[in-house]
Amino acid sequence: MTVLTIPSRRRDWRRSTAVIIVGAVVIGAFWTVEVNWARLAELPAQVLHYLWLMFSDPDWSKVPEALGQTWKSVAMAWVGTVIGILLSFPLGFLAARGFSPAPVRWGMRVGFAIIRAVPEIIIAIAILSVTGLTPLTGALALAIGSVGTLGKWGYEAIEGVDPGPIEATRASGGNIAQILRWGVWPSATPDFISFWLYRFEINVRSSAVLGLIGVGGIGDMLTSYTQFREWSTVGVLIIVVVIVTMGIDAVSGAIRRRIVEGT
Amino acid sequence: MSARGATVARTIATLDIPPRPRWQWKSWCAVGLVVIITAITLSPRWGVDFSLEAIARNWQNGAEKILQLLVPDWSFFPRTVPALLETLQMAVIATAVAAVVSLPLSLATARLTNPNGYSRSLVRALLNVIRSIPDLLYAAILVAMVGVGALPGIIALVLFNVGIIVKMVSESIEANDPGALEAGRAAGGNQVQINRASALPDIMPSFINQTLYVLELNVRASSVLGLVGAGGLGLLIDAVRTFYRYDQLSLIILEILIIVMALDVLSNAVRRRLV
Repeated sequence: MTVLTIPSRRRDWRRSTAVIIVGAVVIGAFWTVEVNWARLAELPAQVLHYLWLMFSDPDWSKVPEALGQTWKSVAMAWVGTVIGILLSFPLGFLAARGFSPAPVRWGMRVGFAIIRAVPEIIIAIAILSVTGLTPLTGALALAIGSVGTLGKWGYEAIEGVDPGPIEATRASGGNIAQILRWGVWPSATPDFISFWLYRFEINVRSSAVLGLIGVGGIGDMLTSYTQFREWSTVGVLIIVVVIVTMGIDAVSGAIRRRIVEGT
Repeated sequence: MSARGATVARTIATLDIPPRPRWQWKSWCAVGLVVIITAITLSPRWGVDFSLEAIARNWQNGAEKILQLLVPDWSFFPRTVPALLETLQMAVIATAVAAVVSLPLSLATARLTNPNGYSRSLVRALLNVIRSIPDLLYAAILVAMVGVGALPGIIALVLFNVGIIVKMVSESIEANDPGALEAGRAAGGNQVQINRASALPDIMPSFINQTLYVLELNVRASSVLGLVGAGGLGLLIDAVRTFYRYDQLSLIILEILIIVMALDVLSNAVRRRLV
């Protein structure tokens, strides 16, 4: 019988160093953070207690108001997404290789990266001195936030387009607009629609959060009832948020799958 | 008509020109639907009141405030350091805990690594619910449960991260070649041994990748969790926003920007090593 040689384990000093560094950072963070870990022991009991308060006897009479506020949040998300699409579409082309000069391109890309690094709620705080505490502020903050991601995904999709049709359009004398229309648009459409929908899903979640600073919608209602400690209402609000978010995700996910599979 | 023109015309006639692509009625319906929804969401009665009049009214005062964003108040820096550190600590701890929790859960959500349909759907359903609640709402509720500080922030981030990591990693398990897993089964391994020996090494790159991504998300997210009392920079943001100190807000934004971008560079370097 031949002797089986078991392949030896790969030992890599770089990997070991990486593990040690990561370990040190994590332990350091645990060590230094000011947290009363003893409270963690009470947490399971607390969670059960509050879950009981929230869901044992939900205050269903608040459902109509909750749905109204959720609709306001969703409307905010929709308007934000639409404005974001309108802004990011041309900007995406300005950031794509082959459609704009390098300085413009890099300027755009840095701009997108900066927007992506700032949470929407901070954008909302920054613009609310002009727009006031209205749903419009929320929609505009979401629009600006969307430009960061949609712009990035946009130029990546445009650069990923098969160059064949673009060359063909150019060869038959197409100008830049015609190249976009006939060389880029047909093959990039599924990608674009897919990530527009995906961004809408993200915006639905963010719009619920934006209510925390008082721009209206379900987040506003949730913060106030949490502050009043009216847990039976908070439970209803959470149920509404979960169902609406999951419903929108399901519909949008189904559409995205159909578009990507090409029907 | 010249002779040349006639040749061209004949050539075009013989060329098999494909029919011009037509929009299907479905596309028109979709566009129509989008326009209708947009119109409803923009109507003052039913949706977002898009009144430019208020903006025009506030412009004078507001624009001045926004211009303050361009002049950060550097003297505010010492006060931001502890909050900034707390934000980073929260992000790191939450990422570490979430990574540890997510690994077995991802194995439990993928068909290849968990053939048991009931437990799989149970974990999936639970994670779908967890994922549909935004991090700040978790934080708002947890602050009420365990009191203000970094702890509710960390728990909120962990819940938020587990949803993301498990979804991404279990999808990458499904995309893997089942050959190695079958070999493990043929060699007589039980499911735990198979997962440990063949699935785990396969998903490591995608797992590390998602964890890095989540760390980036966490730095962004933990900087605002303080708005509801969950520790970190958000507490300061809340303070400066009530006094409209936009020059100080600007410094905070700048700090978040620098850290997120530095982290982005770092994780890109790690990612290049992975593949």
